[in-house]
Amino acid sequence: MTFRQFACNNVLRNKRTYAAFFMSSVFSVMIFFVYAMFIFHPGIVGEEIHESVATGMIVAEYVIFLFSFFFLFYCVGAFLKKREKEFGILFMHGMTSRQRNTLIFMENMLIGIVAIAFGIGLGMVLAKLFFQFAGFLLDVKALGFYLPWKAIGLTVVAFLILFAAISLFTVLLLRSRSLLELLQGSRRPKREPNASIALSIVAVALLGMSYALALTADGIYVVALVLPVTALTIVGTYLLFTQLSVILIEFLKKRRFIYWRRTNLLMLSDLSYRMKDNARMFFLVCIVSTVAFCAIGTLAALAGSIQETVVKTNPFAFEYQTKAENADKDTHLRLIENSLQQGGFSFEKYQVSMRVLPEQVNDETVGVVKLSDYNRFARAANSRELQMADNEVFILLRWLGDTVEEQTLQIGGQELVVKTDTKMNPLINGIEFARLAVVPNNVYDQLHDLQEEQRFAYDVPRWKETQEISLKLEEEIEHDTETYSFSARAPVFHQMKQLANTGLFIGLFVGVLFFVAAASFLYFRLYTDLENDKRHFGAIAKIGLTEAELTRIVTIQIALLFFVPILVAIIHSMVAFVSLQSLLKVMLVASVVKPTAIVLCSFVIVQAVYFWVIRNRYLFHLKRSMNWI
Amino acid sequence: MEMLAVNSLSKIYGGKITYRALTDIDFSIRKGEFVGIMGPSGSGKTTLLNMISTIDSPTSGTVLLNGTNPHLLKKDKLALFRRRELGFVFQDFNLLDTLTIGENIVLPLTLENVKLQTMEEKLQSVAAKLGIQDILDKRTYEVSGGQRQKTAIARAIIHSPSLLLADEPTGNLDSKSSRTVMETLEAINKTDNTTMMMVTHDPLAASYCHRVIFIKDGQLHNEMYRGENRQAFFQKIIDALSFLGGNTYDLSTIRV
Repeated sequence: MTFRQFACNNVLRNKRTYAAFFMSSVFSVMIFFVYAMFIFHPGIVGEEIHESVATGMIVAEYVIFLFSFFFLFYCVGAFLKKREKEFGILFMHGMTSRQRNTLIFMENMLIGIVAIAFGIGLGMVLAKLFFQFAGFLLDVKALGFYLPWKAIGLTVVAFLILFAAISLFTVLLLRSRSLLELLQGSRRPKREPNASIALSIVAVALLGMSYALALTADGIYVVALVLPVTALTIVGTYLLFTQLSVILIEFLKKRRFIYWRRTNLLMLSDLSYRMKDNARMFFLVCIVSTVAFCAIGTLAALAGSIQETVVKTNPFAFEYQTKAENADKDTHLRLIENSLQQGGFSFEKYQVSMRVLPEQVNDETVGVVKLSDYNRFARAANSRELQMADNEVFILLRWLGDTVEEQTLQIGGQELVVKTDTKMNPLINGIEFARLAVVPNNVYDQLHDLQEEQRFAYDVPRWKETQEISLKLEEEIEHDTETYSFSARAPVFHQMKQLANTGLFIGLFVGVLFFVAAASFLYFRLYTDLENDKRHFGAIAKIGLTEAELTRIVTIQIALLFFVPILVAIIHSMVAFVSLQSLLKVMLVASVVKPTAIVLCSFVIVQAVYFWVIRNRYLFHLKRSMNWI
Repeated sequence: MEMLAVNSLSKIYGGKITYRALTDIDFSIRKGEFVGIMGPSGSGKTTLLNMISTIDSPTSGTVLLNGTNPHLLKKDKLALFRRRELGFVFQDFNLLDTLTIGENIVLPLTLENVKLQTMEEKLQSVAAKLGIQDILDKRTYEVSGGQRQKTAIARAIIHSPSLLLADEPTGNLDSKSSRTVMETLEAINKTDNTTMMMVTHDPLAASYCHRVIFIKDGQLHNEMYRGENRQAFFQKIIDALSFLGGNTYDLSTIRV
């Protein structure tokens, strides 16, 4: 047996220990590789949509790479901790530190190389499916399969560097322990973590503060608060798990009527004993899940509300605004109507006239529209109708946050009181004027000799299918913004949808990667505990523990491990979504509730299934070690 | 010729409560000698062994093995020292579960980067000596406790160390396996002239030694030499132990 064989044996004969670590490495490599395949695909060069997707994916690649680094780094460190005794034995037999470092490096590289090979292989197999899915989500023709040499090269180099760097950092950061400590290994009794009441209060205060900030923040202020709130939440969560949880368990332990009741004694003492290990893992899983929930929820909300947003900003399928002197008006309108008729689309035509006021208000030219005309138009656009007295004028806001400073407005020799509200409106501006005011019918009728503009709007029930016609019309009706303007809804919708789906597409895979990582944290944790638990419960079983009691204790312990971090993550993300809601309102996204609920529910369901499987396996191993099966 | 010399060795454990584990221990072991260390629980036997095996370091005093004080060596030199001069046998075997029996045995040679052919030859000869040739390809959990301890012994002697240290080698074994393991150690001591030092609770195991040193409360108590008759030596050890004031637990072999 040479030294190299020794290193290989260590890994290959320990497959089960390394399974979760290996699988998540393979998964990271696979996602990285598939994205790389997309980025380097010959079919996307020159295609605008694909190029924007590719840019998003390049960002995602960095995220995956960084995340993989930290995740794998943590895993390797934890593995080494578990192997302390083994290293102790090896040191006894004269292994030098240098040899230990070489051993760790060789083992990591072995796992790394195999993981890279599997990840790329799996990526190749799934590439076709992935491209199809991408095509479906982005509403374009699916990309073909190709031999991705560049992608393979990038993935191999990137992950070789990653694994080498991890080995190097691990070795550098390895604490040197005395041989005596190493030989005692994991049987060395751990001390309960010391928790301070002050820090627990700080935890509550930090979380309370960040929640309060997040919940009260309004509109665009949410953006400014993202960083401080995130920092507060992360620190608060850390303290929550390391301090407050310990205090809580201590509190329960002091209540004898709880603590000394049936299996509570075993469970609580065990819980507090392990809290030091658990705390850090709870924290990691919680933060990772929160990020995944928020990312996927937001993207799903964005993607889900595209139609609503577009319908609000473009209330009609086609709109044509023209000045009175436009000679091409009739030609253009006929072109639009003919195209629609030829395409077999039914439509309704609306028309509204506006006049431009001669004098500017606050350096802006103002147009006016008759109240009855406006209301007819608003009705057609499914917007609200206005009501006003004869001495009032209604100034329409153009975007959220737009303000009206004037208290009164001089129109046609009359002093009118300005009214306004913050709702969105179907008509907001024209060619000559930047602002539109709705005036009472009699005021409008008194205005003469003013420049006039007209707007024609077409309501097409099947507007989603007008993409081709719209593109053709946009080409044929030249953009001469001096005398007229033309806009179509379908192209805007398609562009927005592709953008949102791109985000969703990328976010989904990164989110799933995070989730898989969180799951393998848990698997890894339980695997480390299994040996100790076998000893632990074996000893207790000897003084009389029934199978039902064992099942109960283990189920509750594993359930805590699985659901406490997720629960906290869900609460975090719900707060995040509430404050995001007010931000998204600015972006005209109606509701994040439904997509978020779907995302959170599916996560919980997957987690529950995973919990059930792992719990059964764990119990099976425990019972078998006690010869109960 | 003196192989191991221990001079006024003391160990005080620090921490919240300081505890004096060893006080002024002096003794020496000649080349080829087989020495047993006995004493009641908590008398400091294992602490003494840990000092000599470099697992732990003494508070004062020196350990000289072939004239070298391993506690003064630099980390890497110390590793080489362990690899070449020392062999260990533990109570709980301490075999690596990922390796086969054969691979466990050649481990010290692997670390030394010895040629494969040499490793193979040494493995065969040491396995033959211990009668474990048939299980070399088995994994550690597939063999009995006695076989595991023989594997550990094989691993401890394959590189012909100057000193073989054993910590309760029969502690986890039944009486029949204990006897074979002790006979094996005795045979190795005779044929290879390997110097051995063994810490034990078991009077029967101790009766295989040439000399037994008794420790009580961290201090040397007395030592006894074996004559020609092992049975008589065994009886003398039992008498000495009861004189030391140990309880029945200390007299019996620990069995699990």
